[in-house]
Amino acid sequence: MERMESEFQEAVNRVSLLALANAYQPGKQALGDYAGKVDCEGSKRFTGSIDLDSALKSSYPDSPRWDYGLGLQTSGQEIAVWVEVHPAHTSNVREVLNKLDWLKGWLQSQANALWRLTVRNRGRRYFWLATKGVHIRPGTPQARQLSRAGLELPREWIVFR
Amino acid sequence: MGDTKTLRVQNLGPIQEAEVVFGDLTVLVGPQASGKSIFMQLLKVLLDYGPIREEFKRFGIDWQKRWENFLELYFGEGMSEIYRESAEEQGAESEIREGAERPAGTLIQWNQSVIRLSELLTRRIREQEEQMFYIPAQRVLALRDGLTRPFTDYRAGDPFVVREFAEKIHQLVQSEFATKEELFPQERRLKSEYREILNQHIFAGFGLRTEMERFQRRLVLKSPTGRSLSFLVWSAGQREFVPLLLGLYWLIPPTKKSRRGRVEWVAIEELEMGLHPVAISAVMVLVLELLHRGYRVVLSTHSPHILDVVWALQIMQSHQGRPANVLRMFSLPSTGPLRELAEDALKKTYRVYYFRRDGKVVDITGLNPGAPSEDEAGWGGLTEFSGKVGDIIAEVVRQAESQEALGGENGK
Repeated sequence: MERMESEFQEAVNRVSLLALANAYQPGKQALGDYAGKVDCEGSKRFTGSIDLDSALKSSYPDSPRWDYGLGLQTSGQEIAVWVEVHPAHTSNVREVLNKLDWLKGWLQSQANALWRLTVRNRGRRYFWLATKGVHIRPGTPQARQLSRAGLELPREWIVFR
Repeated sequence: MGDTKTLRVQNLGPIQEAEVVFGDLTVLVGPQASGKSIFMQLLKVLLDYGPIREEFKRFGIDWQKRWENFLELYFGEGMSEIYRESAEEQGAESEIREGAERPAGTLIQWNQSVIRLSELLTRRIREQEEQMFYIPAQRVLALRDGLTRPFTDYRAGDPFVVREFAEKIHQLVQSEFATKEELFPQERRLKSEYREILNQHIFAGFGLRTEMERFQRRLVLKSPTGRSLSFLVWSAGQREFVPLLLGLYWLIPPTKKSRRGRVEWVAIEELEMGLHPVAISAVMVLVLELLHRGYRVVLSTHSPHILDVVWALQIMQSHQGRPANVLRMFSLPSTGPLRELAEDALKKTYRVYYFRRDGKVVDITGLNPGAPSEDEAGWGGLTEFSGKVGDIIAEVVRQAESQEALGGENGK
């Protein structure tokens, strides 16, 4: 019997861009070397992933592309969450916020089904995975800029509980 | 500084278990009444039991050979209970072996030696000169209406470190500065760059002077127009800072000598008291000067600003930071002496400990905001609230985003 597509896979397939045709990967495989830094616990499981940055490189060569998307089955519903792998110094905050702006704009204009999977989740949805340590601390103007954009402080590991 | 110094303590006042390895600069954080001050005063008595005993003797204070009386005199009235006698009797090396059951009494281990406080009171005094200079949190009490207060001006139940600090300031102002009216700025005290930043961020153009009042020197602030401002009209920060400045004068001799007497250690409680964050940075420069002079400094603080400095210096150390980066952090000019100071700051060792409410003392030296340990990531509770505020704001923003995108279709 053919396995049913996850909502995340279906939403990826509905993006009318040739570049994304083969972007879907099962589980968290699209994260490659960073997959070990992202995990889920309990009844949660990953339903698929995309390497957005690589897939959209030729379509948006000069845009601040976001890195990865993940489908996550939580109790009751499937949602989409987004992970940016980036150094985490205060000087990087502006770059990541630009990427977040770009991601939201792209989801809303080009990938509505993914956007709906994203915003149906009222919890955390955008994640900054830090490379080489976190160098931004709570209470700084940069940390406040992140909060204001709906993004929390970067972490060295991301666990969906 | 060369050799490692470690103080391990069990069951002393609110402290259940602490093992602190001192750096050149050691910072202690934690909520009120978590034992930071007791710990620092304990270190002082371990280093200076001789001069402390001599000082009590000099002022005719007798603890009648009872260590409980000594504790009341040293830590202050009502404090003898922080130290539990049973450890006096049982305090054998074997009790603090790994995995051993925690003894009921107090145990103190200074480097490799288990120390009994009662023994310090009878031990032959080998060292007459103090090794630690202690600037207490209550330093503002060293002045009354701008007049310095000698040791005997306090009650017997007032902590020794408060009385002793006041006595030093009294000697400094009434004797060392007896012939000088001007205390700040002063040509031969502190580098001109330091005088400039203190003037800019704390004194705001006012000078610190003494005026004679009934055969005693009284401190006043002199406005740029020459008007004298008495103690009670100084800003809260100025009232707090002036005793600290006088303490730094004590530690930083005007001669070519780097340190005063045999003092190697400096303890400063709540350095930030009453100061604006910019002024705290200015005072941290003076702390770096103390380190540069070879003092080992122990600070207690409730200020994330001080931890910002330690965090930054450590990151600079691990990322080949340069003296110019240190100077830029403090907005200091790149002069020869300041470059040396900054270069030295990058070679020093820094340690940070969190005195938790449950009596455990945790090493949070890494200060990594992304650390899995909440104690370290939240900088011992100092940035925890800011973190919580940030998380809640991020959540509110996301909810608004969902609301806007989905309208009423998902209910509330």
